[in-house]
Amino acid sequence: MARFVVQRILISFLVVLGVSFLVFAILNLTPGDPARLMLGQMAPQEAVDQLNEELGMNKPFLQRYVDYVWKAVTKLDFGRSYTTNEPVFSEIMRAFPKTLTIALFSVFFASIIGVPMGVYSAVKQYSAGDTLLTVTAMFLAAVPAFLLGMILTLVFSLNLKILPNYGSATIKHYILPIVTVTLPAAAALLRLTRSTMLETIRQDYIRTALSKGMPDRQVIFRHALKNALLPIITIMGLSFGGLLGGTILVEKTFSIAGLGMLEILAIQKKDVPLVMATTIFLAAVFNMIILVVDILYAFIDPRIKARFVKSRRKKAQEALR
Amino acid sequence: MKKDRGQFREIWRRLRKNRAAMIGLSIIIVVVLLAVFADVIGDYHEVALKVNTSNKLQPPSLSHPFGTDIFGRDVLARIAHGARLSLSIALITTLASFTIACFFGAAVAYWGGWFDIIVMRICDLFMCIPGILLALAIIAALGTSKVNLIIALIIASLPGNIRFIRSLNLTIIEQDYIEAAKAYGASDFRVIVRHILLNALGPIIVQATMNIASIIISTASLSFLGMGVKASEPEWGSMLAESAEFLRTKPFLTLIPGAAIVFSALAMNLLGDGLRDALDPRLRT
Repeated sequence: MARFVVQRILISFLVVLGVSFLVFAILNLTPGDPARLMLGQMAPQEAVDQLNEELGMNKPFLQRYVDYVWKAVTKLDFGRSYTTNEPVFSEIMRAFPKTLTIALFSVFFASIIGVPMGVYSAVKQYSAGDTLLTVTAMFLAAVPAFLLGMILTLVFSLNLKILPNYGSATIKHYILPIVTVTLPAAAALLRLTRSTMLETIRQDYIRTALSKGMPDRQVIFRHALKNALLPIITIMGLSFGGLLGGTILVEKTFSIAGLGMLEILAIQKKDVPLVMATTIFLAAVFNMIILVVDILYAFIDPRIKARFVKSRRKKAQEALR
Repeated sequence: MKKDRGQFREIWRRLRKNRAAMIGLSIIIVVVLLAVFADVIGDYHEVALKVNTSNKLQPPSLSHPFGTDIFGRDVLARIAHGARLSLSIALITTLASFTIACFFGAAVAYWGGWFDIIVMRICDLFMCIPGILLALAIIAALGTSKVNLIIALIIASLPGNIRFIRSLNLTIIEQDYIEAAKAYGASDFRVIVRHILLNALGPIIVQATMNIASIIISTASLSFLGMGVKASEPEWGSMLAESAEFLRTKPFLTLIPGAAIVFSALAMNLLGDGLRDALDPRLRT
């Protein structure tokens, strides 16, 4: 099992390296003039040229990329923001906890709401409850996060005046943003759980369990859900990416100074080091989550475990050879 | 050819019995009509774009059925021109993305080997960046404009589509009729287009319909963030962003473009679900 984990971590490391290269390449597509952006239009050309030289803009593309990665890995130095001249890393570290809070709570609530409701919907297929749940989920899938946020704001903070809709000062400030990210994610999980459960319920081994007189409840939880959970867990990890994207929109809607807000402001100001670092950072977090999910998955899925953990019989066979 | 027509008629017959899909189709027809007759509802430059502050924030009336916005522009006309904008962006993006994806997806599935490995690893890398983040990075590099928005949306949706079409084609390639086509000497191109892609057409159409829905939402999201079309253009997402200040006093300014986004995306998803059932009744859940 250790081999699998090490292998998986190495792959993740390569992926993050590849992602950083992609982002670096994309953001260097246009021949920008960062020194001109930093010093303004009125600055003399010599000063601009000198700063460009200092920033290493005159070096070839690949060397710049290697320098960037080297500094980032060894000194956590992602460059300085063009607009505030602060180290990019400290700006990211200031914004990150807010984004993480929203994302983690939303994943948690989405799973404890979405999965059980999906199971219910599948077990009671075509009942009134199932119809209500699937129609609601279908509807939520078509509502963009910012619109949902605005509607919740209208109801809970402007009309009922019970929740704040701006900033991130107290725990109360996080309620509406978390609900906004949770609802569509829970809806997506509900739909996924329902269809996976429906497929599983039609398998032969479920019919066997039922026909040998096992109670319904036991069949559903011990046989059906246990098998259906595997694909659900994989997609949950992947949907974390959509969730991180959703938080960008939600941070803007509720004016929360998280990573998404930081990135949007950076794009508007053409602050390339900040855009680059936030994008790479968010992508790295996303891949870390997928890594954790993959490793968890390996512990749950006996098929993967079997490939890496040698059984006693196999060891004996090899010893005999 | 005669058999083909019969097949289409059969699919249509099954689709027509699906009430949800028919509701979706009706909404889509309304949105398309809005887009087609946008100029009749209100001239683009005179009614949907021109600032007329003396006329601002009017409640709904006969001359302005949905009222007017903060700049005194007719909301109905902006919704109609927004439909034209959203639909054209979504259609262009989906068509381009799926055409490229069909080419690559079928080619890598058919030839396999190193070509397959390289293309798929590049796709995997792109898919490790959340979609909206990738689109934002591309827009950050290229600048905000309608064309750049479409480019960003195509690139962001391409890797997933290539992977989808590849896996679809891999199961088809194993079929005996592909072997038979190769055996009687059909060219690679003919096998890929006539035998592989044509047989994958059903699921591709379903996926493309769903893709249109997600592009409508992505376009609105990026415009809401100020990264889509120009701020003055009548895009549903930017209309929502503009309306945020008046959420309490003029909620309809938010709810009308909001409803436009939700119903168009919902309708596309309903139609997609219905098409999947109609194209392959065995898959029905």
